[in-house]
Amino acid sequence: MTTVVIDDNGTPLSIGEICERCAVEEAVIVELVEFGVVEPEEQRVETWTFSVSAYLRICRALRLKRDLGINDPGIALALELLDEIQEMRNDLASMRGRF
Amino acid sequence: MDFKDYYGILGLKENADGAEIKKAYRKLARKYHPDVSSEANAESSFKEVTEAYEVLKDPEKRAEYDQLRKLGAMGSDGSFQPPPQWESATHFSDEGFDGGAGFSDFFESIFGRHGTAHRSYRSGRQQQFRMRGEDIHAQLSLLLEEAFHGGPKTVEFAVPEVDDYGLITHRRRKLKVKIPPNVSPETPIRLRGQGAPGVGGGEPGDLFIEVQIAPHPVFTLKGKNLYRTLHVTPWEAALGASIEVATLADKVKLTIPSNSRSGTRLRVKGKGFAGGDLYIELRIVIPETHSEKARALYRQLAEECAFNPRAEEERAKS
Repeated sequence: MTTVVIDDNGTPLSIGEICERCAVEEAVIVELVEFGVVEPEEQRVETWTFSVSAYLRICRALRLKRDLGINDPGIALALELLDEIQEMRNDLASMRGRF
Repeated sequence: MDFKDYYGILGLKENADGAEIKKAYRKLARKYHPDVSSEANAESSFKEVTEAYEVLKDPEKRAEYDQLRKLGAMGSDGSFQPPPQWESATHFSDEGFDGGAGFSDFFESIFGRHGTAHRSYRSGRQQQFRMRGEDIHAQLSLLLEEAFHGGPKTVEFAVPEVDDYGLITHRRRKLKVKIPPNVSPETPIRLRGQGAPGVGGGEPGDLFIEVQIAPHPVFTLKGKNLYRTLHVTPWEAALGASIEVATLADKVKLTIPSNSRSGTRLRVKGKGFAGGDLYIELRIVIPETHSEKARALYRQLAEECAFNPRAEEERAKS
Protein backbone atom coordinates (compact mmCIF):
# COMPACT_ATOMS: atom_id res chain seq x y z
CA MET A 1 0.00 0.00 0.00
CA THR A 2 1.43 3.36 -1.01
CA THR A 3 1.50 6.27 1.33
CA VAL A 4 0.36 9.55 -0.10
CA VAL A 5 1.17 12.93 1.30
CA ILE A 6 -1.17 15.76 0.56
CA ASP A 7 0.79 18.45 -1.18
CA ASP A 8 -1.58 20.83 -2.92
CA ASN A 9 -4.62 21.02 -0.73
CA GLY A 10 -5.05 24.74 -1.06
CA THR A 11 -4.92 24.88 -4.86
CA PRO A 12 -8.24 26.27 -6.09
CA LEU A 13 -9.95 24.97 -9.24
CA SER A 14 -10.68 27.17 -12.23
CA ILE A 15 -14.19 27.30 -13.68
CA GLY A 16 -12.86 25.45 -16.77
CA GLU A 17 -11.51 22.62 -14.62
CA ILE A 18 -14.81 22.33 -12.78
CA CYS A 19 -16.77 22.19 -16.05
CA GLU A 20 -14.50 19.41 -17.31
CA ARG A 21 -14.72 17.40 -14.09
CA CYS A 22 -18.49 17.71 -13.80
CA ALA A 23 -19.11 17.49 -17.56
CA VAL A 24 -21.30 20.61 -17.62
CA GLU A 25 -21.36 23.89 -19.51
CA GLU A 26 -20.01 27.03 -17.89
CA ALA A 27 -23.52 28.50 -17.82
CA VAL A 28 -24.59 25.80 -15.35
CA ILE A 29 -21.91 26.88 -12.86
CA VAL A 30 -22.71 30.56 -13.43
CA GLU A 31 -26.34 29.84 -12.53
CA LEU A 32 -25.32 28.09 -9.31
CA VAL A 33 -23.21 31.09 -8.34
CA GLU A 34 -26.03 33.50 -9.19
CA PHE A 35 -28.37 31.60 -6.88
CA GLY A 36 -25.77 31.70 -4.11
CA VAL A 37 -25.12 27.97 -4.00
CA VAL A 38 -21.36 28.62 -4.01
CA GLU A 39 -19.08 31.63 -3.89
CA PRO A 40 -16.13 31.94 -6.26
CA GLU A 41 -12.87 33.08 -4.71
CA GLU A 42 -12.20 35.58 -7.48
CA GLN A 43 -14.98 37.88 -8.65
CA ARG A 44 -14.40 38.30 -12.40
CA VAL A 45 -16.15 35.50 -14.32
CA GLU A 46 -13.22 34.91 -16.70
CA THR A 47 -10.91 34.23 -13.80
CA TRP A 48 -13.34 32.55 -11.41
CA THR A 49 -11.69 30.04 -9.15
CA PHE A 50 -13.30 27.83 -6.53
CA SER A 51 -11.95 26.27 -3.37
CA VAL A 52 -11.94 22.50 -3.08
CA SER A 53 -14.90 22.63 -0.71
CA ALA A 54 -16.82 24.86 -3.16
CA TYR A 55 -16.10 22.30 -5.87
CA LEU A 56 -17.50 19.48 -3.73
CA ARG A 57 -20.57 21.60 -3.06
CA ILE A 58 -21.04 22.08 -6.81
CA CYS A 59 -20.82 18.28 -7.28
CA ARG A 60 -23.46 17.84 -4.62
CA ALA A 61 -25.71 20.44 -6.21
CA LEU A 62 -25.40 18.78 -9.62
CA ARG A 63 -26.26 15.36 -8.15
CA LEU A 64 -29.37 16.79 -6.52
CA LYS A 65 -30.30 18.45 -9.79
CA ARG A 66 -29.86 15.24 -11.78
CA ASP A 67 -31.25 12.70 -9.32
CA LEU A 68 -34.13 14.62 -7.78
CA GLY A 69 -34.94 17.05 -10.56
CA ILE A 70 -34.50 20.11 -8.33
CA ASN A 71 -34.09 23.49 -10.02
CA ASP A 72 -31.44 26.07 -9.05
CA PRO A 73 -33.44 28.05 -6.47
CA GLY A 74 -34.55 24.74 -4.98
CA ILE A 75 -30.97 23.49 -4.76
CA ALA A 76 -29.87 26.70 -3.05
CA LEU A 77 -32.65 26.30 -0.51
CA ALA A 78 -32.05 22.57 0.00
CA LEU A 79 -28.32 23.00 0.59
CA GLU A 80 -28.87 25.87 3.02
CA LEU A 81 -31.39 23.82 4.98
CA LEU A 82 -29.07 20.81 4.95
CA ASP A 83 -26.27 23.00 6.32
CA GLU A 84 -28.56 24.21 9.07
CA ILE A 85 -29.66 20.69 9.94
CA GLN A 86 -26.04 19.58 10.08
CA GLU A 87 -25.18 22.45 12.40
CA MET A 88 -28.08 21.62 14.68
CA ARG A 89 -27.12 17.96 14.72
CA ASN A 90 -23.59 18.91 15.72
CA ASP A 91 -24.89 21.17 18.50
CA LEU A 92 -27.20 18.45 19.70
CA ALA A 93 -24.42 15.86 19.70
CA SER A 94 -22.11 18.10 21.68
CA MET A 95 -24.85 18.95 24.17
CA ARG A 96 -25.67 15.29 24.64
CA GLY A 97 -22.02 14.51 25.25
CA ARG A 98 -21.71 17.21 27.84
CA PHE A 99 -24.71 16.93 30.11
CA MET B 1 -29.07 -14.62 -6.46
CA ASP B 2 -32.30 -13.33 -4.94
CA PHE B 3 -35.20 -12.28 -7.07
CA LYS B 4 -35.63 -8.55 -6.54
CA ASP B 5 -39.13 -7.40 -5.85
CA TYR B 6 -39.08 -4.05 -7.62
CA TYR B 7 -42.72 -3.39 -6.81
CA GLY B 8 -42.08 -4.04 -3.13
CA ILE B 9 -39.00 -1.80 -3.14
CA LEU B 10 -41.10 1.10 -4.42
CA GLY B 11 -44.03 0.12 -2.17
CA LEU B 12 -46.31 -0.44 -5.15
CA LYS B 13 -48.95 -2.92 -6.23
CA GLU B 14 -48.31 -4.90 -9.40
CA ASN B 15 -50.93 -2.98 -11.34
CA ALA B 16 -49.50 0.46 -10.51
CA ASP B 17 -49.61 2.87 -13.43
CA GLY B 18 -46.80 5.06 -14.75
CA ALA B 19 -47.81 8.07 -12.68
CA GLU B 20 -47.89 6.06 -9.46
CA ILE B 21 -44.48 4.57 -10.21
CA LYS B 22 -42.99 7.99 -10.84
CA LYS B 23 -44.52 9.40 -7.69
CA ALA B 24 -43.31 6.53 -5.51
CA TYR B 25 -39.83 6.77 -6.98
CA ARG B 26 -39.58 10.52 -6.47
CA LYS B 27 -40.63 10.25 -2.86
CA LEU B 28 -38.15 7.48 -2.06
CA ALA B 29 -35.35 9.13 -4.05
CA ARG B 30 -35.73 12.22 -1.85
CA LYS B 31 -35.78 10.07 1.26
CA TYR B 32 -32.66 8.07 0.43
CA HIS B 33 -30.57 10.42 -1.68
CA PRO B 34 -27.06 10.15 -0.19
CA ASP B 35 -26.61 13.91 -0.30
CA VAL B 36 -29.77 14.51 1.69
CA SER B 37 -30.49 11.46 3.77
CA SER B 38 -29.14 10.72 7.21
CA GLU B 39 -30.30 7.09 7.09
CA ALA B 40 -27.47 4.64 7.68
CA ASN B 41 -28.10 2.64 4.51
CA ALA B 42 -28.98 5.63 2.33
CA GLU B 43 -26.64 4.90 -0.54
CA SER B 44 -27.61 1.25 -1.00
CA SER B 45 -31.30 2.04 -0.58
CA PHE B 46 -31.03 4.81 -3.14
CA LYS B 47 -29.37 2.47 -5.61
CA GLU B 48 -32.06 -0.13 -5.07
CA VAL B 49 -34.85 2.39 -5.58
CA THR B 50 -33.16 3.79 -8.70
CA GLU B 51 -32.72 0.29 -10.09
CA ALA B 52 -36.38 -0.56 -9.46
CA TYR B 53 -37.46 2.65 -11.17
CA GLU B 54 -35.10 2.08 -14.08
CA VAL B 55 -36.99 -1.12 -14.82
CA LEU B 56 -40.56 -0.19 -13.96
CA LYS B 57 -40.64 3.22 -15.66
CA ASP B 58 -39.83 1.64 -19.00
CA PRO B 59 -42.85 -0.30 -20.37
CA GLU B 60 -40.64 -2.73 -22.29
CA LYS B 61 -38.34 -3.50 -19.39
CA ARG B 62 -41.29 -3.71 -17.08
CA ALA B 63 -42.98 -6.23 -19.38
CA GLU B 64 -39.82 -8.35 -19.42
CA TYR B 65 -39.54 -8.19 -15.68
CA ASP B 66 -43.23 -9.08 -15.21
CA GLN B 67 -42.81 -12.00 -17.57
CA LEU B 68 -39.88 -13.37 -15.58
CA ARG B 69 -41.85 -12.91 -12.42
CA LYS B 70 -44.78 -14.86 -13.84
CA LEU B 71 -42.57 -17.55 -15.35
CA GLY B 72 -41.80 -18.46 -11.81
CA ALA B 73 -38.18 -17.72 -12.27
CA MET B 74 -38.02 -17.84 -8.52
CA GLY B 75 -36.49 -21.14 -7.45
CA SER B 76 -38.04 -23.21 -4.69
CA ASP B 77 -35.59 -21.65 -2.23
CA GLY B 78 -36.52 -18.17 -3.42
CA SER B 79 -33.33 -17.77 -5.41
CA PHE B 80 -33.40 -16.53 -8.97
CA GLN B 81 -32.00 -18.06 -12.14
CA PRO B 82 -32.75 -16.39 -15.46
CA PRO B 83 -34.25 -18.89 -17.93
CA PRO B 84 -31.72 -20.43 -20.34
CA GLN B 85 -31.02 -18.31 -23.40
CA TRP B 86 -32.75 -15.36 -21.83
CA GLU B 87 -31.85 -12.24 -23.71
CA SER B 88 -33.18 -8.81 -23.04
CA ALA B 89 -34.51 -6.77 -25.91
CA THR B 90 -34.12 -3.51 -24.07
CA HIS B 91 -31.14 -1.32 -23.54
CA PHE B 92 -29.98 0.30 -20.45
CA SER B 93 -29.27 3.98 -20.04
CA ASP B 94 -27.55 5.14 -16.94
CA GLU B 95 -29.03 8.02 -15.05
CA GLY B 96 -28.59 7.12 -11.46
CA PHE B 97 -26.39 8.32 -8.67
CA ASP B 98 -22.67 7.80 -9.20
CA GLY B 99 -23.04 7.52 -12.96
CA GLY B 100 -25.44 4.64 -12.59
CA ALA B 101 -22.64 2.23 -11.79
CA GLY B 102 -23.27 -0.65 -9.52
CA PHE B 103 -26.71 -2.04 -10.29
CA SER B 104 -27.31 -5.47 -8.82
CA ASP B 105 -26.28 -8.83 -10.26
CA PHE B 106 -29.98 -9.54 -10.54
CA PHE B 107 -30.43 -6.52 -12.78
CA GLU B 108 -27.42 -7.45 -14.89
CA SER B 109 -28.61 -11.03 -15.29
CA ILE B 110 -31.82 -9.78 -16.85
CA PHE B 111 -30.81 -6.70 -18.76
CA GLY B 112 -27.19 -7.55 -19.44
CA ARG B 113 -23.91 -6.24 -18.23
CA HIS B 114 -23.24 -4.38 -21.44
CA GLY B 115 -25.88 -1.99 -20.36
CA THR B 116 -23.89 -0.86 -17.38
CA ALA B 117 -20.97 0.46 -19.40
CA HIS B 118 -20.47 4.17 -19.26
CA ARG B 119 -21.81 5.91 -22.34
CA SER B 120 -18.49 7.36 -23.31
CA TYR B 121 -16.71 4.04 -23.24
CA ARG B 122 -19.25 2.14 -25.25
CA SER B 123 -17.26 2.08 -28.47
CA GLY B 124 -14.58 0.00 -26.86
CA ARG B 125 -12.04 1.63 -29.13
CA GLN B 126 -10.04 3.59 -26.67
CA GLN B 127 -7.21 4.81 -28.82
CA GLN B 128 -9.43 7.27 -30.59
CA PHE B 129 -10.05 9.62 -27.72
CA ARG B 130 -8.40 10.87 -24.62
CA MET B 131 -10.41 11.42 -21.52
CA ARG B 132 -9.54 12.56 -18.07
CA GLY B 133 -10.25 9.97 -15.38
CA GLU B 134 -13.19 10.58 -13.08
CA ASP B 135 -12.74 12.30 -9.75
CA ILE B 136 -13.56 10.11 -6.80
CA HIS B 137 -15.27 11.37 -3.68
CA ALA B 138 -14.61 9.52 -0.45
CA GLN B 139 -15.59 10.12 3.15
CA LEU B 140 -13.33 9.76 6.14
CA SER B 141 -14.46 9.83 9.75
CA LEU B 142 -11.92 11.08 12.24
CA LEU B 143 -11.77 11.62 15.95
CA LEU B 144 -11.34 15.27 16.83
CA GLU B 145 -7.81 14.55 18.07
CA GLU B 146 -6.90 12.82 14.79
CA ALA B 147 -8.24 15.74 12.77
CA PHE B 148 -6.30 18.16 14.96
CA HIS B 149 -2.93 16.41 15.03
CA GLY B 150 -3.06 14.72 11.62
CA GLY B 151 -1.26 11.45 10.97
CA PRO B 152 -1.44 8.32 8.84
CA LYS B 153 -4.90 6.98 8.07
CA THR B 154 -6.18 4.36 5.64
CA VAL B 155 -8.87 5.43 3.20
CA GLU B 156 -10.90 2.86 1.30
CA PHE B 157 -12.86 3.60 -1.84
CA ALA B 158 -14.04 2.10 -5.13
CA VAL B 159 -12.21 3.04 -8.32
CA PRO B 160 -14.03 2.61 -11.62
CA GLU B 161 -11.78 1.03 -14.22
CA VAL B 162 -12.32 0.22 -17.85
CA ASP B 163 -11.57 -3.36 -18.81
CA ASP B 164 -10.45 -4.65 -22.23
CA TYR B 165 -14.03 -4.68 -23.49
CA GLY B 166 -14.61 -1.08 -22.57
CA LEU B 167 -16.81 -2.02 -19.61
CA ILE B 168 -16.63 -0.47 -16.20
CA THR B 169 -15.58 -2.52 -13.25
CA HIS B 170 -15.19 -1.28 -9.71
CA ARG B 171 -12.10 -2.16 -7.75
CA ARG B 172 -11.78 -1.57 -4.00
CA ARG B 173 -8.67 0.37 -3.28
CA LYS B 174 -6.95 1.11 -0.01
CA LEU B 175 -4.70 4.08 0.33
CA LYS B 176 -2.61 5.15 3.26
CA VAL B 177 -2.89 8.89 3.53
CA LYS B 178 -0.89 11.24 5.70
CA ILE B 179 -3.60 13.47 7.05
CA PRO B 180 -2.30 17.00 7.60
CA PRO B 181 -3.06 18.67 10.92
CA ASN B 182 -6.18 20.84 11.34
CA VAL B 183 -8.45 19.12 8.81
CA SER B 184 -12.18 19.69 9.23
CA PRO B 185 -15.40 19.27 7.24
CA GLU B 186 -14.63 22.68 5.77
CA THR B 187 -11.23 21.68 4.47
CA PRO B 188 -11.62 18.63 2.23
CA ILE B 189 -8.45 16.81 1.28
CA ARG B 190 -7.45 16.60 -2.35
CA LEU B 191 -5.09 13.95 -3.66
CA ARG B 192 -3.97 14.68 -7.17
CA GLY B 193 -3.95 11.77 -9.61
CA GLN B 194 -5.41 9.26 -7.14
CA GLY B 195 -8.83 9.07 -8.82
CA ALA B 196 -9.92 6.88 -11.71
CA PRO B 197 -7.30 6.28 -14.41
CA GLY B 198 -7.62 8.30 -17.59
CA VAL B 199 -8.66 6.80 -20.91
CA GLY B 200 -6.45 6.85 -24.01
CA GLY B 201 -3.54 8.43 -22.16
CA GLY B 202 -5.71 11.03 -20.45
CA GLU B 203 -4.77 12.30 -17.01
CA PRO B 204 -6.05 10.38 -14.00
CA GLY B 205 -8.74 12.00 -11.88
CA ASP B 206 -8.23 13.23 -8.33
CA LEU B 207 -9.38 11.78 -5.05
CA PHE B 208 -11.33 14.12 -2.80
CA ILE B 209 -11.77 13.14 0.81
CA GLU B 210 -14.45 14.82 2.89
CA VAL B 211 -13.73 14.67 6.56
CA GLN B 212 -16.35 13.99 9.19
CA ILE B 213 -15.55 14.51 12.82
CA ALA B 214 -17.02 12.28 15.49
CA PRO B 215 -18.65 14.09 18.41
CA HIS B 216 -16.16 14.65 21.23
CA PRO B 217 -17.20 14.45 24.90
CA VAL B 218 -15.51 17.74 25.79
CA PHE B 219 -14.78 19.81 22.70
CA THR B 220 -16.97 20.97 19.84
CA LEU B 221 -15.54 22.31 16.59
CA LYS B 222 -17.32 25.13 14.78
CA GLY B 223 -15.45 26.51 11.84
CA LYS B 224 -11.93 27.00 13.16
CA ASN B 225 -12.94 27.56 16.76
CA LEU B 226 -13.21 25.00 19.52
CA TYR B 227 -15.77 25.25 22.32
CA ARG B 228 -15.88 23.63 25.71
CA THR B 229 -17.58 24.19 29.03
CA LEU B 230 -15.76 24.40 32.32
CA HIS B 231 -17.32 23.66 35.67
CA VAL B 232 -16.47 26.09 38.46
CA THR B 233 -17.60 26.44 42.08
CA PRO B 234 -19.64 29.44 43.23
CA TRP B 235 -16.67 30.73 45.21
CA GLU B 236 -14.30 30.39 42.26
CA ALA B 237 -16.77 32.36 40.19
CA ALA B 238 -17.27 35.02 42.88
CA LEU B 239 -13.67 35.46 43.99
CA GLY B 240 -11.90 34.67 40.75
CA ALA B 241 -9.43 31.82 40.36
CA SER B 242 -6.60 30.43 38.34
CA ILE B 243 -7.51 27.03 36.93
CA GLU B 244 -5.57 24.63 34.76
CA VAL B 245 -7.74 23.74 31.77
CA ALA B 246 -7.17 21.11 29.08
CA THR B 247 -7.11 22.38 25.51
CA LEU B 248 -7.03 19.87 22.66
CA ALA B 249 -3.25 20.11 22.43
CA ASP B 250 -2.09 20.79 25.98
CA LYS B 251 -3.10 22.67 29.11
CA VAL B 252 -3.41 26.33 29.85
CA LYS B 253 -3.65 28.31 33.08
CA LEU B 254 -6.95 30.10 32.84
CA THR B 255 -7.67 33.15 34.93
CA ILE B 256 -11.29 33.25 35.99
CA PRO B 257 -12.13 36.89 36.69
CA SER B 258 -13.98 37.67 39.92
CA ASN B 259 -17.76 38.07 39.65
CA SER B 260 -17.96 35.61 36.74
CA ARG B 261 -21.44 34.35 35.99
CA SER B 262 -22.64 31.08 34.56
CA GLY B 263 -22.42 31.30 30.78
CA THR B 264 -19.46 33.70 30.82
CA ARG B 265 -17.30 32.94 27.81
CA LEU B 266 -13.53 33.19 28.01
CA ARG B 267 -11.33 33.07 24.96
CA VAL B 268 -7.98 31.35 24.73
CA LYS B 269 -6.30 32.67 21.62
CA GLY B 270 -4.84 30.28 19.04
CA LYS B 271 -5.95 27.08 20.74
CA GLY B 272 -8.50 26.16 18.07
CA PHE B 273 -7.90 24.67 14.63
CA ALA B 274 -5.49 26.41 12.26
CA GLY B 275 -5.15 29.63 14.22
CA GLY B 276 -8.73 29.55 15.54
CA ASP B 277 -9.49 30.13 19.20
CA LEU B 278 -10.77 28.07 22.09
CA TYR B 279 -13.88 29.40 23.81
CA ILE B 280 -14.50 28.25 27.36
CA GLU B 281 -17.96 28.68 28.80
CA LEU B 282 -18.23 28.74 32.57
CA ARG B 283 -20.86 26.71 34.30
CA ILE B 284 -21.30 27.14 38.03
CA VAL B 285 -21.99 23.91 39.86
CA ILE B 286 -22.57 23.30 43.54
CA PRO B 287 -21.76 20.23 45.62
CA GLU B 288 -24.47 17.60 46.02
CA THR B 289 -24.38 17.86 49.80
CA HIS B 290 -23.15 20.47 52.23
CA SER B 291 -21.75 20.02 55.71
CA GLU B 292 -23.56 21.71 58.62
CA LYS B 293 -20.77 24.27 58.77
CA ALA B 294 -21.10 25.01 55.06
CA ARG B 295 -24.84 25.46 55.49
CA ALA B 296 -24.22 27.92 58.29
CA LEU B 297 -21.87 29.86 56.07
CA TYR B 298 -24.49 29.93 53.32
CA ARG B 299 -27.05 31.29 55.77
CA GLN B 300 -24.57 33.98 56.68
CA LEU B 301 -24.08 34.70 52.98
CA ALA B 302 -27.82 34.91 52.42
CA GLU B 303 -28.10 37.57 55.14
CA GLU B 304 -25.13 39.47 53.77
CA CYS B 305 -26.14 39.55 50.08
CA ALA B 306 -29.31 41.38 49.27
CA PHE B 307 -29.49 39.68 45.88
CA ASN B 308 -32.71 38.65 44.18
CA PRO B 309 -32.00 36.86 40.87
CA ARG B 310 -35.76 36.93 40.06
CA ALA B 311 -36.19 40.65 40.53
CA GLU B 312 -36.67 41.36 36.84
CA GLU B 313 -39.24 38.61 36.43
CA GLU B 314 -41.20 39.83 39.42
CA ARG B 315 -41.12 43.40 38.18
CA ALA B 316 -42.46 42.30 34.82
CA LYS B 317 -45.38 40.48 36.43
CA SER B 318 -46.55 43.25 38.70
